[in-house]
Amino acid sequence: MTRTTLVLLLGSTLSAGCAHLQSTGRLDEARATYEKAQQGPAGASSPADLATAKKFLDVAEKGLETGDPKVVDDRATIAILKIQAAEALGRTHELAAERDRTLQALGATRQQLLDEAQQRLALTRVELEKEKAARDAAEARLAESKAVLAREAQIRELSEGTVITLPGGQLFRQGQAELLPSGKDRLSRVADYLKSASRSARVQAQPPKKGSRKAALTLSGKRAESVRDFLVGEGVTARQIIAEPPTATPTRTLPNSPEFATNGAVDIVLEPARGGGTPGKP
Amino acid sequence: MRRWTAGALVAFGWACAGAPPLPADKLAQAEAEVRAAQEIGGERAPQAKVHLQAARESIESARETNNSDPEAAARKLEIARAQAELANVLAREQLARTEAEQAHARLDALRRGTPDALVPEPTRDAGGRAR
Repeated sequence: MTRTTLVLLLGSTLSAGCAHLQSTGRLDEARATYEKAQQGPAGASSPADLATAKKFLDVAEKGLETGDPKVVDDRATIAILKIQAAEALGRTHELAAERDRTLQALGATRQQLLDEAQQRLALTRVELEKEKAARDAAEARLAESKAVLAREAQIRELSEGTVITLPGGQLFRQGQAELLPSGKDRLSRVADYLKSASRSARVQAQPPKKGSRKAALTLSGKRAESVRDFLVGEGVTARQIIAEPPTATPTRTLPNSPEFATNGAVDIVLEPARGGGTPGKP
Repeated sequence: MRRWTAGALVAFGWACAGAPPLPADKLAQAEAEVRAAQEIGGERAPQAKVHLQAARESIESARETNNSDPEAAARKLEIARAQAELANVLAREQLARTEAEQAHARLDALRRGTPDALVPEPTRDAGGRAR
């Protein structure tokens, strides 16, 4: 063996001993994982965790100096796990931010709905107050109208309803069915009351006790029609009021006075308040 | 001759004593991370569960390797710790995903007019856990 050959052999042995590990498959994987992670949510949402993971990657790179691929692989495995953890943390931060944004929107939407509901409630209250005020006013008008009427007519609350009784002499001449001017005045106030009451009514004339029974019944029917027509003319709706023929047997008693005996009376019967339908048609 | 005898005795003593124990600090850290991942619900999140199981296996593998290669065993404990940490983070990610989905569902329900959605969501503590 020549000296040259010996030198060459020694040189190649030394170079083989000094040549250190370049990489391993696992380390390459770790490098690629890190590159990918930098582009993902971790780069924006958890840069500190990614920087920590990079340090572990550096440690794995430094492991190449040991020349032991197992050391490099183990360190690269740790680096990959750290990078994956940083990625997961990035996603977690984004999810938490999304959750917070959604909860904020939820709160705002809920508040908006509550505000709208409160506005509707306030409007309803105003409407109710208006309706109540209108109802109170109508009731006041009705009470006033009834009080005025009560001064010149008899008003009774019977089971069939409110009965307003006007003496026949205040409305008609004896034996006639044409209204007197003073009778019209009185009936105008009855009309006001009927309009305020908004209740169905029927007119029934009670025949005088004196005189021919048949003629008295005929006259009473005409008087009822006359009164009804006048009330409609005064603004009481035709559907609200009807005229009924007198019954052979009086359904309600007349006050015991000579005036009623000679000239009868006119009853205007308002249906009970809860009825409100067309008279005779429940 | 005496030197040879003394050397043989020392070598015999080492052999009888066995390998050094696993590094206590690394073992404790790995086991603590496994416990933390379990407590946060790592078993319920599929991805976290995989890494949690891998961490347990790495600890077991470290115990088995320690006799023949203590340095490799120590590295396995570090890997176990990293696996358990990842399981922990994945479990938290799953939790955050569920909360985000629930928030979306509540918002959708509210917009559809479901009355239950008017009930305020539970308050959260400093760690973001619902109370």
